[in-house]
Amino acid sequence: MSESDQMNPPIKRCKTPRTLHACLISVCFVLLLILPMALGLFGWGNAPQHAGSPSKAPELETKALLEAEYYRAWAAYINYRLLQIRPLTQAKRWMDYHFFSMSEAADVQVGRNGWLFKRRSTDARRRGACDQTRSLQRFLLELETISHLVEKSGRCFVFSIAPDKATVYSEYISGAFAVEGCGKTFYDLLIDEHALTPLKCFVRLDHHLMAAKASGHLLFNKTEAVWNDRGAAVVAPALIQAIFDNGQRWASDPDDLASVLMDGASSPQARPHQKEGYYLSAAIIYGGSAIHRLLPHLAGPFSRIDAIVTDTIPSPNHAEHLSAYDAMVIIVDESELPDMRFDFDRLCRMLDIEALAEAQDRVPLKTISAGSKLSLSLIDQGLAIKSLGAEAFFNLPALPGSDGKTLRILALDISAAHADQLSWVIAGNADPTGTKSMPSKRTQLFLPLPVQPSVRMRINPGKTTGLFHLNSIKVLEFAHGMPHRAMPPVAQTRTVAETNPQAQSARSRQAAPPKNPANEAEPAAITLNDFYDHQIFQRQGTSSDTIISGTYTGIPTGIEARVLQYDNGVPVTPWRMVDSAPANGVFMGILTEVPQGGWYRLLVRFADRHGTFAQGDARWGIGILVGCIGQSNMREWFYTGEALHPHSLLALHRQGHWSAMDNRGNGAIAFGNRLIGKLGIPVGLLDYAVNGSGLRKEADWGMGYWSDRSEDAIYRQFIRGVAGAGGRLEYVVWMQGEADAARATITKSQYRSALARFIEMQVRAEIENAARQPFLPFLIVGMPNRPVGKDVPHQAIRDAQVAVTHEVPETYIAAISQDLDNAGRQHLAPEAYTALGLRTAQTVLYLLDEASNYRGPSVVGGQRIAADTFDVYLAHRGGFDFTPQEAISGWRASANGKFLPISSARRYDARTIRITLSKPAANAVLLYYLYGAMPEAQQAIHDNSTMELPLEPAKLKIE
Amino acid sequence: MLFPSTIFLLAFLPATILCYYTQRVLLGNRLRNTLLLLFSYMFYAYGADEFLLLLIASTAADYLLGRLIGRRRSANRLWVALSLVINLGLLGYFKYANFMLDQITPWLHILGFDPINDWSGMILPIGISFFTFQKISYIVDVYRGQTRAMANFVDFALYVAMFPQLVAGPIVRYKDIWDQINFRTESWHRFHMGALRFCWGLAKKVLIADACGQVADVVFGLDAAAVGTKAAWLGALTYTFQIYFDFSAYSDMAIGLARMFGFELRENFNRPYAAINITDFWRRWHISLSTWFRDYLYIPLGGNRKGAWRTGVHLMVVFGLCGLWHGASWTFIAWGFYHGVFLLAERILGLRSPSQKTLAPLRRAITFMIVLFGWVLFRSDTISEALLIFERMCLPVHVPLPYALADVLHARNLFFISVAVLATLGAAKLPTWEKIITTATPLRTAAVVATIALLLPYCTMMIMAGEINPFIYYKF
Repeated sequence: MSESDQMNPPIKRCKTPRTLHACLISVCFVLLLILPMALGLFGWGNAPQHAGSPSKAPELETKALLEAEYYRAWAAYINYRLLQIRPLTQAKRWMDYHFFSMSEAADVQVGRNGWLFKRRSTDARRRGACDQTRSLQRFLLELETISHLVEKSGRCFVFSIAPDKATVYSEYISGAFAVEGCGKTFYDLLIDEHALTPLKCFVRLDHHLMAAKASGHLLFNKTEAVWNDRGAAVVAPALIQAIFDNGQRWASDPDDLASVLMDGASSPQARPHQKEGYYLSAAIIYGGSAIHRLLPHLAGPFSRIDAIVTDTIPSPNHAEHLSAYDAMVIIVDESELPDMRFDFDRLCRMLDIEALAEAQDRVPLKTISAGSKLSLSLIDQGLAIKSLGAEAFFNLPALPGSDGKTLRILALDISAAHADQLSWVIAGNADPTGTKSMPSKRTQLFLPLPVQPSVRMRINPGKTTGLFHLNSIKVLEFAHGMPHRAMPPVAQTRTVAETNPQAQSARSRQAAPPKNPANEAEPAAITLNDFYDHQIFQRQGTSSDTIISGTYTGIPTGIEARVLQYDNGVPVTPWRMVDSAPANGVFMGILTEVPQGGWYRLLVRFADRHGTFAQGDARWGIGILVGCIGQSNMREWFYTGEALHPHSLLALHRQGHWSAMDNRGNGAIAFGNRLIGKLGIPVGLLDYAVNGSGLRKEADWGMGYWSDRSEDAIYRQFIRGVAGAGGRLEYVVWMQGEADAARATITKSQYRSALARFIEMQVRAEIENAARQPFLPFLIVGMPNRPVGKDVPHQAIRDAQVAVTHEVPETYIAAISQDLDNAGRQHLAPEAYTALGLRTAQTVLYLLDEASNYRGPSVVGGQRIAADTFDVYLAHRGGFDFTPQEAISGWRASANGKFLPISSARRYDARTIRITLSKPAANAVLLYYLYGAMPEAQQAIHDNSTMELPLEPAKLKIE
Repeated sequence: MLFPSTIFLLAFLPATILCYYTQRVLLGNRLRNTLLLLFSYMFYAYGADEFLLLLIASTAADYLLGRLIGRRRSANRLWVALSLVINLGLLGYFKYANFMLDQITPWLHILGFDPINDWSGMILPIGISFFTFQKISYIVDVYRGQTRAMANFVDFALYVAMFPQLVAGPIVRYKDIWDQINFRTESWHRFHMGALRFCWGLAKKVLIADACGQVADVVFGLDAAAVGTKAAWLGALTYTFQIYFDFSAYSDMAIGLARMFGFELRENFNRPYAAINITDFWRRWHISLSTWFRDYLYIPLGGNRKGAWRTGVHLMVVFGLCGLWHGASWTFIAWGFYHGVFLLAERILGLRSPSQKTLAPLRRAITFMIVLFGWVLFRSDTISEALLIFERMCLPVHVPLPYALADVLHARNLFFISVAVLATLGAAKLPTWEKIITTATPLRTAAVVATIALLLPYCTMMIMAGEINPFIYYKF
């Protein structure tokens, strides 16, 4: 045997039993490992794909072999292609459930005999809710108030709770762990409270269910979270009885002929039904998922019944108005009860409770006194309030509280220059504090007064410094008493400042307030409420007004302010009076028409004693604010790439804070730098994009969706951020769509209407437009190439975005990204974000008339030259020619739904692309450019302008 | 890249096997080492692309130094010293710089110096502890003349970076493998043994170790007030099982993978919980590490040849460094000293090697408890946390088992924890896996069928469902 054979002996054939055994095991092992991938690659189990749209693997790149992300891109592609992951994962979960009675699903608990429960319900039972008694009391007070008001408006109000499966079938909950805490759920506590002080509007359903269960009925299916039809049928009569609480049993549903037969009614009751002289023809039901099965059983008596699944009443995402309904029914899922919220102010406005009140007492504004860090001045139309932020408050005179005979509600008519949070403290009350959101406009806020003889209240109008206007305060009285509910004591007395954690924030950087602000003996001193470092105020035109505020000791005749250049101290504005009548140690005023630019610093002084002055340390400016929202490819503008250096006038606003831009985020830096370079003014970018976020609810994969206007939603966080930055923007940039395209969740028309609504009803309704356009410009950056995905749903989203630009004014496709290759990854390469930033900046400059175009060439027509040859005609904008000359990619052709291979696509002349198919096509041909989820874009077309803008996607039919 | 991951199991491994054996057929194994090396580098780049060049560069440095030492010139000591400085320097920098900085910062403040503010913190290159020790063993063995320097860089690089043992051992001695690099043979028998061993390791990790780990993680994550005696013991026991089944599973998989490509690696574990004393334990636990410390530190220091006092010092130094090797934390150092103390005590009391059969069950139980308490120290984030758990274990404190444990003490985990308990109790008596699958009995058939037809698919499903913890020793 040669040395080579010794080193490399041939592998023995599988002839002997031992070797055969080894062969068999080895082959089985390898086959088992190869099988999933092989099946996936050969398309087993794949859904039918659109013609000409193969899923694409990351491109083979040698240099990428040193990048972990490249391997992860392959891993993601392999995981996508291995469609068997889903059936195998499900098989494993099936085995876990059936063999081990367990589940790894976070939201599901497996009980005895395979019964499934919502983990939230079982956890609530285990933890108990005794630490939530205060929340419960607050909730009940609010509920009773709302009940009175709704019934006062002539409507029927019923509140109920759909018991959890864990409440009714607790014997199937497994686990040897003792209940922690007091062993009572929120529902139990509510029932206890109801037993002590009955809630008139409350309908208890659990004993109906328990009675039916004792009779042998199955009210919940083993694997469902809410009651089944039988369960719903058991509780429905109790609810109907409560709604029509006229002492008579509601006659049978006229459509249920069997019950009509049993009741022996000679004629069925006609709709609509009557209750105490009012017709109940329409009802609105709020609640959780339990109401779905209830609806068929409740619908009978009504000619119209609307149901909204929501945890905030009224719903922030629907446009319902109570005036359309005769009955308001709330059926909350027990597990969702702690999360239920009332938008009390909106309810009161809907019900127009001022008109319903038996009496109204106007509180004289002159009886209101200023507390700390706040000054008041009576003016013709009300009370002007200068507030220095979270520690400022004003005191109301003693007001009568609610009692057993009278419900009293405080109605505040207040205006604010910016959206904020109003908060209050009630002296001597066991639940002293509360907060409300306040929009940046005139609004009415309603505060139910607690059950106590006299209410002494102090109010903080907003967490941030600002001017507020109190138009009126009234006490509305309703002749319906409120029961006294014992509120658990607070651990310690809390002040307004303590209720606002931001009271200690950098916002109030001034020294301690003067002990006796009006004391003549105090030496003169002035302290400035400085701005945040790198704060940018949105310009209005070419300047902006800014609110200057601070505190002082002494007796100045007025306070002056001016703006200096930060670097060299050169004055930007002359000295101007900002507050000609400072009082109470507080000064506040508006420095008007500060010219755009930066960085600046502030200087304030006594008008009569110039030696008493204070200088700000923060650098700030007047410029352009741009809100950046969407999902991860928007967010990566701020995180991918470190090749660029940000201009010193570029600032970032994120999570409510201003900061200088660091060198991360090619897209944002390129965008900002380009604008600053051209305009010479600061640019502030508000980074509020959220990875994986959808537009519509169906596209909520756990990261939220932008159409959601509820309190904790991502949209609301963006709005709060904008409010914190002044409430005005000049542009909004939107880069989103992948979440809605995923799994073909959203159709084109759904996305189009949702996006249009989002722009018009949300963004433009809540953000002040500071652009010179009539509407706040909404700039859409198109979705990039995807590493995986189906063409049809992605194209639907792209088409929808384009459609919105045609329908909604001042909406633009600011930049195309499909020509930017992402090498098979979820996100673009750093250079691609740079290109996007520059393209979007070009759009902004175009809107500012600083650039002549922002779009690349577009397809304007085509012609068949031969059976297999077509010319496509382009119209240029910025350039006059295009590249590449040969081997152009990105084109697809199809006829009769079949993909037609293209043998060449090349430049014919400066305005013509000649496309040759591999085979002649007799019928009409559809030509697509940059179509679908992952168009081939290695050799995409760009014009020869300095921006090298891409040819816009197109679709045309050539006969 | 983890062994129990979709990308490794269903893409990387089949691709490596297919490419390897295709080149064997087409090229007669001429490029087998090169191919394995490339796949090993891809394996490493997947998880630590930023350190791949570091690995290659340090491999190249030791290759050159090995060649220089192999020439037997006068400056050999210098080259050895240089290699040690490079290897230990890199290990010390990446692994211990953060720890050292944390320790000296308070002293800087006390001494009036400014703290170091712009330190951004080092990321530990995966596997650095293992491949550093492998390279050191190579250099020292060449220096000592126990082996010849490798002439071919690819072969040497393969020795350092072979993916089965690259990131979590076993630490392979060059002299144990040098002949296999060029003269190994692949066979159906060896491949199938490797496949079965790999599947067995996979099952130990995915099913048993992770089941124990889920419970241990909950317990060690509880607030102090929620840890009662029951929870403390439960956490200690499950972690004791977890670390054994986790680490031995990795070694099984590494050995199995190496066999698939013709390599035979030494066993790294030998029923450590069947040990009758701590000395015996260290002959059974992480054998490759303990023998490395013995051969490259303990014996060069003098071993037990310098008198009792020096022997004691050597033991404490070796085990202190052994603890430090595991991680830059006082708990690891304390764990090392803890074992050192018991080893020393056994020497002093003459308990190192009495007859194996004398009170064996009792001695096993005591040894197990000593080791168990040591694992508590090893697992805890701080010494005070460990002391708290010791206290709760020793002094009865009644706190009901927290509900967080209910989520993890489900039937599946309980079943596999029971398997771990039985395997540990029967450690001394039950046949080893190797014995089972090499002895032609019905048990072997059942084991093979169960492994291929049940365990491998079920483990694959578990991996696909994404319910796998990383290996414990991965972070060392």
